Amino acid sequence: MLDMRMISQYLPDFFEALFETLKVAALSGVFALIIGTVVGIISTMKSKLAIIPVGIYTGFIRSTPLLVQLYFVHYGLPITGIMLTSFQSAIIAFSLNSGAYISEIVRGGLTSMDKGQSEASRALGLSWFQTMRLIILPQVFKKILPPLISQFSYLIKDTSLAAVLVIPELTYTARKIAARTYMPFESFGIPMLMYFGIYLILALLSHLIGGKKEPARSARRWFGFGKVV
Amino acid sequence: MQDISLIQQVYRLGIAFLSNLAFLPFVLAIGIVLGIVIAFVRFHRIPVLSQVLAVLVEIVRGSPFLIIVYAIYFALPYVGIELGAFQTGIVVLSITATAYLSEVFRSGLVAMDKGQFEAAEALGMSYFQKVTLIILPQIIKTTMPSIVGQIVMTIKDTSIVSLVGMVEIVRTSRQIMQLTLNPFIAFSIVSAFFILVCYPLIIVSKKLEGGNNR
Repeated sequence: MLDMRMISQYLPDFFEALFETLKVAALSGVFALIIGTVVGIISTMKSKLAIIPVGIYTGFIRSTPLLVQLYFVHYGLPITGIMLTSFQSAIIAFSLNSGAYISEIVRGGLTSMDKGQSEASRALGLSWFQTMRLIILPQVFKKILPPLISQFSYLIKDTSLAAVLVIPELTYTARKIAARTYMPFESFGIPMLMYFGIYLILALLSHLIGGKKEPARSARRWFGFGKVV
Repeated sequence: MQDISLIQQVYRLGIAFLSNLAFLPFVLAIGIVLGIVIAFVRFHRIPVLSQVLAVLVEIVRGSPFLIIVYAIYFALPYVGIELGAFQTGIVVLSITATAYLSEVFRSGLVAMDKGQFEAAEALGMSYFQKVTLIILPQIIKTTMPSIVGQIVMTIKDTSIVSLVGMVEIVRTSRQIMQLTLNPFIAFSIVSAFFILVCYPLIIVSKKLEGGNNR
């Protein structure tokens, strides 16, 4: 049923699109990590002045669809005089979205840290900033690496919405090739396998880093991620 | 540029939001029933069927929602099935909800104490009694936070069905935007509707999670 000639003809296009998807995801991922770390640290502070804006930000991101957030950035920001290309809009929307989820992961990591760690480093005369950078954050990141990898896996899936802004990533390319060749099974099957491959690699990675025993056996069991709402 | 008053915008978007919410009962019913069935098939490791379902579930969980929407929307006519936008939405949302919920229920099953099964068996219950009277009520209770989380995800995902022609809140907001040329107001109202429904659910999910841990 599958047309091998069509597949070999368009495979380079699909790989190019896969590269674009990974580019969008990697760029957004870096910004999201920065946003998430800063917001996550702020959210552990006691002052109401810090907690309320953070609560509004994460609450908004978590309760509205990413598509609406993308439209907000792409169609809303130009009204305020900020002109953005589709690519920039996508990166901003994905970074803000993923950043909110990462901030909750970072927050969870920070609150699970032993108080003695920061007290000891303060007693050694380290400033708050040094304590964070040298003592707390390295330990937190080591602990939260598995959920961060899961979050990156969600981010890669979310980048498919960039297709709405005509960015030539995997989902957009699949649609374009489906419309051109009238072969929906091949056109959507190959990108889905690509997404699936990335998902499996990241799942395996998250699992191995999580220090689970008998990785081979669990790999056979088709492990899943902890789900983030 | 055409003037639509704020109240008119809220009214039109509110009506449109009802079509988003109309997906929920169908999708939840299908997702929970099929999810439970798949979870039991995989839990009992029924040969062949279990492996096939595992691969299908992982493919759905590993693929972006949008590409599943496109794939179903463009591929179904090729196998002779013509669906409207709403039916396509139900099919696609149910597929993803089933995949995620089956994994939720399966983890609930795996986490359950083996003694529960053995005790029910010892009491002479049939398999059907065991499942419906002993196992399911407990699993539904322990997985409630994830079920509520899945409801939130489904509500948010309904917005994506607008991309294959479903007239719902996001599509309506874009139409309004093209009339008023003011995207901020239209999208703010849309966000407000989603927050109104989803935010309380997220809080409930968190509360339930806290309750279960204690």
